[in-house]
Amino acid sequence: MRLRDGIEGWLFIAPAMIGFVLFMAYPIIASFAMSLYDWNLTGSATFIGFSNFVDLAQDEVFRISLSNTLKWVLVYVPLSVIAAFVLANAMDKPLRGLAAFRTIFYLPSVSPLICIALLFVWLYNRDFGLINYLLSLVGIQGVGWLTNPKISIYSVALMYMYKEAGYNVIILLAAMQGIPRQLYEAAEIDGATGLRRLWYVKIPLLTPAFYYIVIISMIYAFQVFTEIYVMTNGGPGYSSYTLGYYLWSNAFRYGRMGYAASQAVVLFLMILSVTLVQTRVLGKRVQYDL
Amino acid sequence: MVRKNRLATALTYAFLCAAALVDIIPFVWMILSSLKPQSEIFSFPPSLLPRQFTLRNYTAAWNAGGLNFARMFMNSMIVAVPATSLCILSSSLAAFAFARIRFSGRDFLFMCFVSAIMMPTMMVMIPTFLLMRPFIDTFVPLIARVMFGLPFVVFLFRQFFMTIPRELDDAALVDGYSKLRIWWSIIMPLSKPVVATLVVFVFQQVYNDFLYPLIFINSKSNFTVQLGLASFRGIYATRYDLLMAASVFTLVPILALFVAAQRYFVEGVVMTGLKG
Amino acid sequence: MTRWTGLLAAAMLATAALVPGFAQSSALKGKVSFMSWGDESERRMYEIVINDFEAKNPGVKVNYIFAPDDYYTKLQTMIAGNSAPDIFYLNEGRFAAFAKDGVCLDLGPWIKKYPELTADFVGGLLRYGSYNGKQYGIPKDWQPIVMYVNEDIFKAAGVPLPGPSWTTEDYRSIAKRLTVLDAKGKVQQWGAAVENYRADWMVFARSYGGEWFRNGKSNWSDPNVIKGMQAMLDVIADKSAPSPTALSGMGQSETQLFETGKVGMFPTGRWAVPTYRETCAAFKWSTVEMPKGSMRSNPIITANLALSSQTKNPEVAVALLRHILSDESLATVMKLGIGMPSYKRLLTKTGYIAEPPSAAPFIATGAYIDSKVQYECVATAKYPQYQDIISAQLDLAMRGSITMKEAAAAIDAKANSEIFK
Repeated sequence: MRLRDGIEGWLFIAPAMIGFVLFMAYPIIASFAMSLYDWNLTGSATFIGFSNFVDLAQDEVFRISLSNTLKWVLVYVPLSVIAAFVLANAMDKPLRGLAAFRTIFYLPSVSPLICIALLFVWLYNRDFGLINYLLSLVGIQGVGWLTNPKISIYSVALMYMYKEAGYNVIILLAAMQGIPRQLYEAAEIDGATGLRRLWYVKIPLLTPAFYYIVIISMIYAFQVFTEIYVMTNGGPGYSSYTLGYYLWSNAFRYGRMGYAASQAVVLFLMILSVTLVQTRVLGKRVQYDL
Repeated sequence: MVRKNRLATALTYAFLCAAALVDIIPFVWMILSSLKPQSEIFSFPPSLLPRQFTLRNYTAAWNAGGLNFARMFMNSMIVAVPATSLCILSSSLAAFAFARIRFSGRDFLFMCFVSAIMMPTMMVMIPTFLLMRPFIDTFVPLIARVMFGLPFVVFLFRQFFMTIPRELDDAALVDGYSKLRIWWSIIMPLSKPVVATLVVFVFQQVYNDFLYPLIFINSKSNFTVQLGLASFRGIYATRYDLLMAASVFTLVPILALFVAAQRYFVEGVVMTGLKG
Repeated sequence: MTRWTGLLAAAMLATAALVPGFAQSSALKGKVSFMSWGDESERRMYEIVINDFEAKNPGVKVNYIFAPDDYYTKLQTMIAGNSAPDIFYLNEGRFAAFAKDGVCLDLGPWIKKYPELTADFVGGLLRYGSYNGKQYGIPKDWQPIVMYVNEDIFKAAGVPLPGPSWTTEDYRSIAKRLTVLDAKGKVQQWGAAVENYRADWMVFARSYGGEWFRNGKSNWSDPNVIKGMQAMLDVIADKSAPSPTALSGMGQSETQLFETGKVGMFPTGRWAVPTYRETCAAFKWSTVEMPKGSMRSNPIITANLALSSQTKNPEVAVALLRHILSDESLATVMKLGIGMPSYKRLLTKTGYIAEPPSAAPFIATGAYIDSKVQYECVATAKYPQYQDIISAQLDLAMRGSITMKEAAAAIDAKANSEIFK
């Protein structure tokens, strides 16, 4: 029985394993290998051991990109989770027109990123953009959302939050609607209503969903590239360089593919360890059997 | 009590409407802009309605510079439809094994599988290109990299499967069902909501992908919609007028899919801490 | 009957083989791929040029590859996968890296065979397709940088249009006079706009004779470079021009200010002409040469046509190259107004360069192309990385967070310690 289970198990995951080996494991191993070479994609590669990693440790732009990426993750991930939760919670009621709201909130997620990003470039324009125009109507002087180095990275993150919130809303809403109503009733009998019910019953039951959206948002946030490429090109100065953008610059602009691979390896290990820690911490409550 | 509830409902509506309004402003601007000439799009203070209402952008974008959006839509469908359906099948098979069958190395494999998405696409791209070199300028690489299943799809399927009571499987086993049959005729029918949700997620990802079509597709006759869309962000100047019009019509198929899948969405991704 | 036809055909073939010209053109056979970037008008133009080529060479099939965005990511991936196109674009800044790696075919022997390919070139231009003394690419056209002016704004302000000999001081004072503020001091109309784009700063950095790259090193601290750049930055510091958005050369922001009639003067390349013809219809516009410092210098912004060293069919590829660079095909380009012809004889041919705007300012820049500083820099094969260092510091200087002198020092320090070691 156990042997049969084993064979059956492998048969079931066989298609996924083919894909895994070809399109995930092999490229990842190749990236690890590339990180040990000096290679520019178009010429020949020279083995240089760990020098790329040594260079990385001293690279100031890499350090800035890392800190910008962390800023992005630390601001974007909690904000987008909270925003998605507030919206989903408001919709977790027998309301008319729920489908319409859900569609509206999901609309940005299905739209092409390039289109949303370019829309925001215009919305953010300091002198002629809609946001500053609306602010000026209520007497607030706007700022250069993308041209001020103190806030450019947050402006791009805000755009991304706007774009991706709908995805998280769908996941959270589904999770909320999966909570058996009896649990709320039981809580009410115990005297827990309103906020207390939210805090002691609903939120704990949503932990797995939170876990999923936090991890997924974090993984994507660590790889941010197109948003920066379209909206700021890393500027002003280095204020919106992210790891994804710097990695691309090295790989496809500076002729330093091997160096870019070493960044990818560091990034990969970083995300992996954060995920493992999160899994450990949340593991018991999540019951994910990871 | 009733009055309090009414008030709460009214407040909820007010909040949702406000949020929906903020959410939809860029789209309204997109649609209105798509009806204006480029010079009017950037007028300041912003003009809401087009001074001169024109559908010219739509006709211009549809065939701009030798592009053919009818063809590109068809190409995108030729890629996205098989890629999505096969991805759903292989992912659910794998998820079923990860959730229901005990075999050695299962949990380690699952962990490896899920952590694969942590490698930046930019790096994965080059080895994938080398691997799929014989299929350059065909749709094969675009379909192949999705059809075997995607980690996040496997993850969400597994999550849902774990909420289906195990007693159902056990009863079926007693009746002599094979594992494959349990997956197909018991688990999958119960999973309609999650299938609907994931179809939308996967389809959207394939349909909106830019990087892989960019490197694999050469001929204009094989362009997907996103390649066409990107060409309006020109090297010399961005044609907002054409880009907005093209964005509107590229959104249509995916929006239609979403609306069609809506009614299954309710318990699409069950993710509570409670099992069964 | 059939026998007669067969004989006739055989006779014709024999004749063809004997007449050299005829035999040569009909011998071309096979496939050739050609990859470029470009906007919609450029794509349409290549369709015409390529159809024409295929019609003249029935045995040849051209696979035209158009990369809608992120051109070099695609090109480098293709090269890494040994599937480079036979002919491709390479801009002047990235050209050397590809030539250095042996990706490009040495065109020397072909130029010897077809000397018209590079004869009669506009001065200084051809160099940008060479590396280590060998010609690996041929600049298909060039992009003069000129000042685009909104004549309506000048008229409304009562300011006469600048003449060809205007100076950087004139530029600054005109920009001030064209700037309009509302009662609250908010800008309603900018006198000028500049971009943090290589073409813009290369013009200003050289305008007082400064050499921003010299003897293999970054040399921004040259006082004359700083003086020239200051002329660019003063206009921003005066609030006669907005501090540019961080986008470099993607035409997303400053150009739109000009297109919507909110800017009096805006420097950019010839490539803007086809777009402006369509989008600037609401006002009268023209161009004038860039303002003069103690001298004038115009950078080279171009695309080289390069052949892959892996090409299986160099004859066909060269034939296509010759066709693209023929007077006839170039006429299609010039009609679009998207670039200037590389051959001198075409510059003076009446009606060849489409007007409006007047071709004179564009032609005039041909007399002062920078054939030294910029070339020495791009020939290091490390220009893209250098450019990113420059843009980052210029961003800060344009915002006024640091002075031009500080920016120059920072550029030199970083570039000379990391790139030009």
